[in-house]
Amino acid sequence: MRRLLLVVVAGALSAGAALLPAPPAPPPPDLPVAAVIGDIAGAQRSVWYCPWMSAGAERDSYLMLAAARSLEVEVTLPSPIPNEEADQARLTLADEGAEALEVASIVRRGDAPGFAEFDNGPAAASALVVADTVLAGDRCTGAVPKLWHLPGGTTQPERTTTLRLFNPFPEPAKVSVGGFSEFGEVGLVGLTSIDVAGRSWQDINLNEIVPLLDDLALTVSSQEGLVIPSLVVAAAGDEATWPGVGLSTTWEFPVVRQTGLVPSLVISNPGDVEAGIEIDVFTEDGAVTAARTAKVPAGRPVRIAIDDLAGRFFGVRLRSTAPIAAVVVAEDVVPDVGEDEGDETAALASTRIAGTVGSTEPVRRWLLAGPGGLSTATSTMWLLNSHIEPVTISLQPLGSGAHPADKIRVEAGTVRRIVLSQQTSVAGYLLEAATPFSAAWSIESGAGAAFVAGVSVDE
Amino acid sequence: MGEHAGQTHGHAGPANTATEQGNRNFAVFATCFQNDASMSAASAEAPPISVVVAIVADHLDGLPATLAALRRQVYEPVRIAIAGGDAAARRIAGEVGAEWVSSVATVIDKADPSVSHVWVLGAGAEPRPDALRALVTEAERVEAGVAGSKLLRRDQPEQLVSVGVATDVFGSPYTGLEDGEIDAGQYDVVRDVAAVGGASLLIRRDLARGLGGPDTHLAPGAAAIDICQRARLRGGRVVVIPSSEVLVPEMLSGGWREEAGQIRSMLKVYSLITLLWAIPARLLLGLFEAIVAPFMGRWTLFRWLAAWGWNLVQLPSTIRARLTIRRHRAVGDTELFRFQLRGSAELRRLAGETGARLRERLPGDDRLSLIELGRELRQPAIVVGAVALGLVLVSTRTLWGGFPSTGFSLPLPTSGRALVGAYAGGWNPAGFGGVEPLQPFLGFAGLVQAILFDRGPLASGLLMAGAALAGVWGTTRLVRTWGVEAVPGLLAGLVLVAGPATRAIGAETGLGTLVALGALPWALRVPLARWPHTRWAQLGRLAATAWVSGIVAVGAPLLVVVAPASLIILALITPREPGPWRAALLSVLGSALTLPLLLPWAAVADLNRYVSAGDAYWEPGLALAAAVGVALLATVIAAPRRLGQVAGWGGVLAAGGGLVSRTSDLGGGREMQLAGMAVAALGSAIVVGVAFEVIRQLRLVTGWRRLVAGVGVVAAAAVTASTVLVVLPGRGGLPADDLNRVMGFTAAATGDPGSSRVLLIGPVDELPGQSRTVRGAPYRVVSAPQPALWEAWLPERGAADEAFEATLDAIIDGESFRAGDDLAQFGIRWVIFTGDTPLTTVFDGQLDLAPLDGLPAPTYASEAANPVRAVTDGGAPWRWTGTGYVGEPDATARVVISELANTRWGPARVEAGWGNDLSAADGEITFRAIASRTTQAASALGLFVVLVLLSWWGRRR
Repeated sequence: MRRLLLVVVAGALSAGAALLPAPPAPPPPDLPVAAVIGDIAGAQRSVWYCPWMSAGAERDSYLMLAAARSLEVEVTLPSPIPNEEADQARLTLADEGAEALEVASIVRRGDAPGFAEFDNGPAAASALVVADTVLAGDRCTGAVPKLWHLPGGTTQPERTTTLRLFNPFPEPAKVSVGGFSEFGEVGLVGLTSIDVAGRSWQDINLNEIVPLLDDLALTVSSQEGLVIPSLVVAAAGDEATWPGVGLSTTWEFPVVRQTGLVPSLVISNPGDVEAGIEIDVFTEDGAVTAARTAKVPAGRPVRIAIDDLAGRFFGVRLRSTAPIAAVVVAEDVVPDVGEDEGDETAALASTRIAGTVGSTEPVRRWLLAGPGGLSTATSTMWLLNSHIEPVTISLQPLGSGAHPADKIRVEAGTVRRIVLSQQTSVAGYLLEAATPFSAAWSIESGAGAAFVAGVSVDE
Repeated sequence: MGEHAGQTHGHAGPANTATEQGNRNFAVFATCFQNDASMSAASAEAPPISVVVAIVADHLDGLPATLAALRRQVYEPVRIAIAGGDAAARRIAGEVGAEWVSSVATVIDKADPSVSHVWVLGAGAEPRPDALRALVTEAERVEAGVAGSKLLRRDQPEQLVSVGVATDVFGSPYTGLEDGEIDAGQYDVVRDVAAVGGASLLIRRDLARGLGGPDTHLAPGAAAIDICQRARLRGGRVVVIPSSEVLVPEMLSGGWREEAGQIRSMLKVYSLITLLWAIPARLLLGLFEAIVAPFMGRWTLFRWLAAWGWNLVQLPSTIRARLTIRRHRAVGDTELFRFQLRGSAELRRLAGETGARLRERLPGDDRLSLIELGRELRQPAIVVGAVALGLVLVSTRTLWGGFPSTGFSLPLPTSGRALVGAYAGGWNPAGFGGVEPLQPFLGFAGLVQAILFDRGPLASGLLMAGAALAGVWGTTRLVRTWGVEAVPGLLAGLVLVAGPATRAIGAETGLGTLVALGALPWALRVPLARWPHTRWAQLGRLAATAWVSGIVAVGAPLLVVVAPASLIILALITPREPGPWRAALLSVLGSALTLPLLLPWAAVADLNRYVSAGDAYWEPGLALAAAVGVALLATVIAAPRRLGQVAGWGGVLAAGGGLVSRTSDLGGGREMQLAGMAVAALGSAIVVGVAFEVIRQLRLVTGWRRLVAGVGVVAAAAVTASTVLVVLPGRGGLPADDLNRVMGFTAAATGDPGSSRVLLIGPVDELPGQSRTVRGAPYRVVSAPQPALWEAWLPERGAADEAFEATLDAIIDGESFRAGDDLAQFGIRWVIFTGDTPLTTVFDGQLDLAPLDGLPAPTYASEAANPVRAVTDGGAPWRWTGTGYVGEPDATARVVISELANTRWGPARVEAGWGNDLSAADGEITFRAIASRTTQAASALGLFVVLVLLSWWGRRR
């Protein structure tokens, strides 16, 4: 009996053990999702990557640095020679400081992509490339995702599209480049797996790979490591450059037209569904909602001429039913009259070209690194108020020395254009308002023109 | 000398027979009495020999008896002298009218020229009335130079003490007699011997004068052997004359003086060629005995040291004596070798003692003799025991190279003393450090390592193999309590140390639990052993229970309750038997005494955290669990009552242990799981042992019960066969080393890799020891090039951990682009991903983390300037020593160390956020140990030693 009791007890204990539940699986790690590319200047330290810079015999670059707070900046320009130390420069920006750093003062070897590290914030950087017939540039990139979208390319004659893949990190990157055109997906031979060594860059001439395409939208994805891509479209003289972007259903472009430049919106829809878009126009006098609508097929880019949407100066807002990437490209268009007067074919040739990325949403603070910083060119600030209320924007010049802020009222649904006076001590602006707005700037000289997106400041 | 009352010349008593030898008629007496004293069978004729007696007065208590025996001698000596001793000896000599002299040599020198022989007697020796006559008669007949008597025990005259002595080459005496051998006349023949006992020795006076008498430097036993050897070198015969009987008191075993005397005697009599090998051999033999003897409960080291030390001091006189002997020798060493034993008498004695003790612990015959050794070796118990020993050694063969680096198994640090120091109030170096005490097992392991001269791999192997052997042996002894014989017991032991539950402990890298498991069966066996009678022995038993339980507790503190609880359960099973109740009480008391042994850990540790950290959820293999269940059921049904109850008890333990090991839902953590597994292992072992025993019980288990028992045996055999899974890899059940595979490259890095740390990121089961999480992703910071065992358990989160997690958060959130710099302030030089983890991508896009190619795991190296644990304000790194830091002394410099802030770091510490800023003036940075913990640790060790000594003393009583 006693033995039977022992067996029963053992059995009961075993049953109890079998019934005890297993511990719950630990929750999955709570890690941030891949950020939508919306480069934001925050209050902490930051680094801004500027792939398209060059300083040599024929062209120079200016790294436009701006900060709302006193900080130290370290500029690093990796050497094209493997294992060689990078060229560096350090400087201090005072409170509300800005500076146009000439790259040639650091190194003079031709292509010189680099990055600027700020030990405080908010701070931002943009880069301009200057030559006899070139004025190109755009804001630099702060966030570095694995997937980039670069619409706006074209491989038609008289245009050269170059993709630069800049890897400033020690880790080699393995990258694949995909593309689609008006005909759909294009095979980019040799670009499905590109190795970009650590602290180096590669330039890919797309005209050699896929010529005669009207529109070419690219996607750059990193399988290993990271790269910062930049698209450069060169015309006969001038060239335009813009960074990669993410996807968004809303894009605002405060600047679309400079004097004589004919703007187009180039939209790429890498998704699987057709995107229906509406273009809102904002002029100095008011807004026109859905001034144009269009459909962007899935997996194709579309170029929409918007020159006829408004008179002089205007900004646009793009609204889409599906996430899209978009850039604005503005070019000089000079009709080329053929020998036969009846020839209706007009070969297009342009000399100036500018382009920029938009902002995905208006914010209350903007940092513009660079306007007014190049004394040989005229800078223009563009403010877009897509809100239903007017906004008063404080314009704080950034640079050396003290500069009083200015205020400007932008009525609801309008765009304001402010041509900046050339002050050598100013190289940037901090814009603040009580309600959100969008900002960008443009620069123009005899050599060319460039559109530069603003950098939103983290609230 | 005059007549003494009761003494007559010639012989007395009727003669049994007569014999003629030569032209003389002898009356031969088989047994006769004179003056109520038994006499030996001796010839009747009185030879014309004059004898003087010299009584060596080393035992004054026996002197009167010796004198009285001398008065009864039928062959009267011409003079009796008492030699040596102190004033008391002189007084006694005066009282009895005997002469007192300072030494035997004086007797020899001053004897009348008519004296032909000297009879040397030990005080306390009582020669039979005709002993002297027999000596004289036979010595004269065989022309012996030295003659000795047959020695018998005074209190038991039928027992032999010595009938002549052989020696080995080292001069150690060997009687050749069995313990307590009865005198049946089996040695009654006059024969040549190597030496005779010093209790009764007749020597020709002229020979004695030539030899210079006995060597006064030597103890009596050694002196007798020495004078006999010297006599033989002079050509004299040394014989034993069994017809001369002398009763002697019980002889105590020779102390250091006897051993010293044997060495001196060797030095004097042997040729140089013999000494060249004999002396070193003797030295080593003594050392070997000093090592082995403690296992026999004897301590011979001091005796050995004293003997050799004395000889060093006496060397000049030894050399002088040697020169004299060698000058007058008539024969060579060959004569000395004639009557010598082959080999070593001490070794024979040791081997016999060892065999007897081993045999005592195995079932079977009580006595082990050399004659039966061969038969014993073929017995299953010996064979299985040898197999078990071999299996344990094979199972743990790789552990002699150190613990594998995996999970909670990490190599011991380079210094055992440092490990003990860290346990006893020092710095806990895990993670970013802290003052949380190390677990008791680490202190124990460090102590073992320190004793072994800091040989970490040797300590590792010894701990694991020792624990396994102890576990096998202990299980055998435990189940023998209920009559389970050797073979089933040993199989049960194998299941304990290598069965399914123990394999699971190994897979969990529960090193401390494995060690504790080896002692666990002893913690039950010792209280269950037969209760001794004397108070000292009872106290010793309690002490033994305590220190054995102490080893269990040190290995795995939670297991300290297992022995008392198990014995209480056993007592409840057999409530009418007092034995288990007493054992349970003893175990409870012993376990209570164990608690101080866990200081300082027990006083300071967060026991709740200790019990609940991790998740207790063991998932045993269903097949083997079912096998144990079948074995249990079958055995309980088929076994005789007592064995069935024991099997049931084992089953309850196994099931209970399994339940405890799965209490994650009730808050049980890793330690609870390990403890449950250990109890399950113990229970399984008991079930298996009983199952195998039952099938052997042919008379008690018959009919259908035998069939059922067979089923149980099959199931038990399946469980036992699974132990081969531990044997083959040779790691004692521990997993293979995987951490070294991913971290090993750091040892070859430039600079001093030991001054940096490594950040490991990966799944929990691929990180060493405990880990922390950031946003739910596990990580661990460890020392390069390889973390040591004291890093397995992390202290509580401190400011350094919070700062580090904030840094990781910033990296994860993309707020940092120079993670190398950020991690360098924590001393981190490498980041290694040990497995799949979502954190892999967050280290992309870092400007100063360079990937390293060609390594088995994704690895990044920091390009920061000084990714070291300690660096001066001038940028010079300091080296981590395991307990502190060292570097170039600089009175003006400061050193920042990335250890959790604590005011005990010095010298000249200044607050530095979560770290420490210290002066570099001394070239050394140390942590001042917490004195109270050091004291507690020392007290615990002292208590352990006291308990061990008390238990040893109790056994002797």
